[in-house]
Amino acid sequence: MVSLFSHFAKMVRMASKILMAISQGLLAILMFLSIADVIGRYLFNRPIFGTLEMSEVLLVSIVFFGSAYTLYLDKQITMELLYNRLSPSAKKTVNIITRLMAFSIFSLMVWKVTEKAFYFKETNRLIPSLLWPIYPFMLFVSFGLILISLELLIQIVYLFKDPKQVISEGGN
Amino acid sequence: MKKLVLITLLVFASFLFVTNYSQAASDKPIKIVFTHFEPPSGVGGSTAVEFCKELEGRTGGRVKAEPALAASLGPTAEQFDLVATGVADIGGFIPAYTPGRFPLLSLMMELPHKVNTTVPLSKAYNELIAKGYFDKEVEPAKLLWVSSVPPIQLMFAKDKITRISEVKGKKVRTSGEFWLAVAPKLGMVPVSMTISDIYSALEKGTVDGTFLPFSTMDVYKIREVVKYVMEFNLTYNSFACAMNKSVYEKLPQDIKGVIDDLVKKYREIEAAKHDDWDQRGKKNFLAMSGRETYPVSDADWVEISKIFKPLAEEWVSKREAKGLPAKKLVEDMKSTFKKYGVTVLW
Repeated sequence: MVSLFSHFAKMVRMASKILMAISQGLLAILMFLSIADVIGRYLFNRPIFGTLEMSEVLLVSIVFFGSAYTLYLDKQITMELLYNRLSPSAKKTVNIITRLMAFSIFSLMVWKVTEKAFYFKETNRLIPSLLWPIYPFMLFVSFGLILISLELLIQIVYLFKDPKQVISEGGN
Repeated sequence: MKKLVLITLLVFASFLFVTNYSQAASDKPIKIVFTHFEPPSGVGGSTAVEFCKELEGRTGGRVKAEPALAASLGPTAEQFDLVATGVADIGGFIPAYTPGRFPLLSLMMELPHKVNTTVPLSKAYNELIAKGYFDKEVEPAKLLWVSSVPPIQLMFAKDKITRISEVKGKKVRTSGEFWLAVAPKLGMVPVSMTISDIYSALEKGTVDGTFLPFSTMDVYKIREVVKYVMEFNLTYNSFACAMNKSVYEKLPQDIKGVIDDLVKKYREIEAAKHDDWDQRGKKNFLAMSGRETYPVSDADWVEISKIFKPLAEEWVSKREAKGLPAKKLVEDMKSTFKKYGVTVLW
């Protein structure tokens, strides 16, 4: 059972890592797109059509594709003013409670974002200017959120079973 | 015997409880939430406030109507969805902000017209919505009214552009699918955003200019970030107001009657307000130093107006191909607009 779970955790973390690599690629595209638009606009009087709308779409994907792996590395922003003064057992309790709360919130987000993606598909909602359907991008967000939820779930289980496995060795 | 008395008392008590409860339930006012993307200082926002106040007054407090303004319940582009999904009961929205969502409504509301006052155009729109062309695409809501916004102008933050050829390469905020197609034909690069984002986009230089009516000058403080206005004086894009159909159908008959009366009254009020806000907006804009307005030259106008007809025909064909009665609607639009003295440019 334990090995099955650790196998599952490995798979989720591998998927998170792949998504993080995609996120980095998207960040590079966003950067080149913005530079090309500025050069085109101010040097050649030929801005790129749809830059703003594409940037918005890319930015959302970058954030949600990179979050699960960031969580695994424990590189997210944390407030540690009180936490650092706690005993190890109190820290463990706080970690379990915060992860449970986060898991509930992110699971709800998965549900609502996916529901909204299908609603937008049904009502033929398009990205203004580009006129691309919005729902595939919302499903990307959903997928990112699923991985965040799974990572939180894995961390909760490891907090009980094997605290060394909660975050990456390179984490904080 | 004791048992019988006890049972009778219990039945009587339950009867009292149930009748009291239903009395209490029926005394509880029906809550109606009116969402709008505009603040209370805007045409739509102020109309929502007045509508709610009168609805409460005319129903003797049986309806508690609450305006939720300035997109407080959800983003500007999602005001209709708030009504359709039951988050709000009535909502003011701009169909052009959701391209692809309302194929027939956009056909009616995005094609440009020349009018001096928006009231007759709004009357024509409302006559057309009463014919049921749009009932299916606004389900599960029902359209209450449509009001045409005032003539749209081409506004620039820094550059004084007097000829249409000078807009080449400029990033200009447009809204609606039709104008997304028109703008590149004029040499502009269209950028879509809702009204609430325009101020900062002009201020930061994300866009060079925008299509907007003068009525937005005060409400959204656009006069602070715009210096030059090329007067296009074209009317397109409108406000629409819808109500959740199941909420409406569940209302008592007399309250439905009050809402129907208010719809007739407020569609006229909102239409007239657009003109008032527009005149005041232009006056306040020109009162600021360094602000200028100038008309589109006759030569430019000839070039611009050539664009509309083929695009409108393309729109009609696309919708017909999807099985929508676009041709019938357009024919009806032409005769209805003629009746109200609205000049069709397509």
